[in-house]
Amino acid sequence: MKIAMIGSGAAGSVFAAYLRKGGADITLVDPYKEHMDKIAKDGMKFTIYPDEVYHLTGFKTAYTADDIGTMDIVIFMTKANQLENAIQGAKPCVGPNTVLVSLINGLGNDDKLLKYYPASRCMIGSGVIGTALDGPGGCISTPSEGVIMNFGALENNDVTIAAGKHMEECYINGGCKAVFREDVLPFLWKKVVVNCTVNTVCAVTRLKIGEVEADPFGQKLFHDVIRECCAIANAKGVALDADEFIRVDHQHIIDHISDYYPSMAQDMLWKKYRTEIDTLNGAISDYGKQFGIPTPTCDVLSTVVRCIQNNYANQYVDGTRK
Amino acid sequence: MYLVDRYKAHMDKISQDGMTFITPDGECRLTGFFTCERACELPVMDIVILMVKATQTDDVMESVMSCVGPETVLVSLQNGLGNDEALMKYVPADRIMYGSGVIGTELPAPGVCVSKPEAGIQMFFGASVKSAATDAAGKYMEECFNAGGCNASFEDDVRPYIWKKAIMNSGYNTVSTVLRLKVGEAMADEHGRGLITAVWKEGCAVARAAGIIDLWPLIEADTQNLIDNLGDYYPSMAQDSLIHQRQTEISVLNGAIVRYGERFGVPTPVNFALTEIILAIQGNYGRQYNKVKA
Repeated sequence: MKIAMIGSGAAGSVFAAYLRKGGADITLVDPYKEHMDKIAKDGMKFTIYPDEVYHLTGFKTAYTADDIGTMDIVIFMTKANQLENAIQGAKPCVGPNTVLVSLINGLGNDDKLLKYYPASRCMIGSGVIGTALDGPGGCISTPSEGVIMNFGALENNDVTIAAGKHMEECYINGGCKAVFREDVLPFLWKKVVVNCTVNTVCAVTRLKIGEVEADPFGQKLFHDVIRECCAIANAKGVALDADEFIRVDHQHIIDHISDYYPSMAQDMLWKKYRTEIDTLNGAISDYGKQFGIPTPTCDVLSTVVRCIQNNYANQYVDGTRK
Repeated sequence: MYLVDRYKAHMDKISQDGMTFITPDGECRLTGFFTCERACELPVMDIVILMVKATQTDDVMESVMSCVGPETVLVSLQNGLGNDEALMKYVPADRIMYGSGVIGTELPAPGVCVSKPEAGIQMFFGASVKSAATDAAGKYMEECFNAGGCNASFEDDVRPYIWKKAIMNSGYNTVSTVLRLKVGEAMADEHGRGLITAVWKEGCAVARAAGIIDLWPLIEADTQNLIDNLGDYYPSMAQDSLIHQRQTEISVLNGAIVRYGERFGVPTPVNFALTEIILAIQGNYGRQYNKVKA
């Protein structure tokens, strides 16, 4: 099967490297010319942290999807806010049986695919892998323990199952523990609810997960976010029970990664990056307005984060009065 | 005039040498204060004015009650909402007054204080329930304040003044604190300004339900004034939280808007969420990430 990776930055390159290592026929598409040219000429240096280094060859590369021919599978790995443009730009390589896949983190990617293609040809998923570029022509994977790639079809049929099985096989052969799930939406929603909860509350309070949980008001904030997210998930047709989520899934996070600043807190507190707020609590807020479901905690937290990420340079820091 | 405070060096200096009082008009020395560290050292007073933080009212009242007689009027000039109700468990409402000042204040050294008043009315107060006792106390305070150079107003209905000030504070003060930004920086960002405005609108809805006039036009008209006067400052709650790492006045600002909202059936989700965030933060100052990491 021919697979295109639309968006081959850090995450796209790593996700494609595992597939190529597992034998997939891969075309990388990215406007980052030096990266594309280097891979086309010399192959890709693929590092799996800490000590595996592979030299992968046989990639096809292109700056756009205009002339790469019709693909069997098109995977999108752009930033979430660029996904719609990428879907439009990828039209030349999409035939009547092509399966469209988003492996982008966060909410709403399925809705964007569904604006252009039927559910019978769409898949979504996400990876739990730290990724970085290693100069033009290289990329580094820092995988978590256990299953690190999950995906599934919005509608299971011959076409999506064939694509999903093929991706699963290539990933596993390439050394990436991947699962093609029959019912991927509840799985992805749970991940999103975890992220909306610990990421955002820890970022705004500037505390680690366990420190928030240990404070009665912090724990209340966690639970408020969980309840709002579960209400939205239910409205989207995904059954998630807030009490059970708090008892099982949230508790699992508390038990395992309490001494930790989640990624959004890292983005906000020291990396000073733009956060993923728009596809997490911001998306919950948007769905809340769409469905008429109150999501006040997510509304306030996402507004706070959006304002802070516009004002990193102005923020009061470290006892130094500006 | 009897001053009561635990800050002993300040009390001693005033009792020995008087108080150096610095205003935009100049500096003067005021004498004739009696000072002590605890209210239980005082005789029964005609008027007792509370200027402790609102969250400390209950802590000091046990001692304060020893100088409160059957005719004494209690006056809260503390920030926030609900200070009048906090006093009702100690004396009847017809002996309670409350109000607030619009004056920047500093205490640069023992025995020295600075006043930075705004233009217009600088001090307003009124009775919880009007009575002969509150009328007499209110007129006397108004007279002394005005004779002392402070533009004070003894109001028939003080609630619109108190609520407007508390609602405005709940907006720019609390939001600046959560954002760690100066008032002007918060107001210049669409999200920051949106959040502040949402707090204000909820507060005004609660005030209307409480039978107070619609404060929104007054707040809207005062917004540019706020940016001009306070834009370049960290407001008091931000100072408490960011600089001094002490308990904030959240419970008598946004927290009080939430409580009154519940009482009058007005939803206040934005104030509620901000209150929770500040409460979580102020219990964890020592743990907060507060460094520039490489």
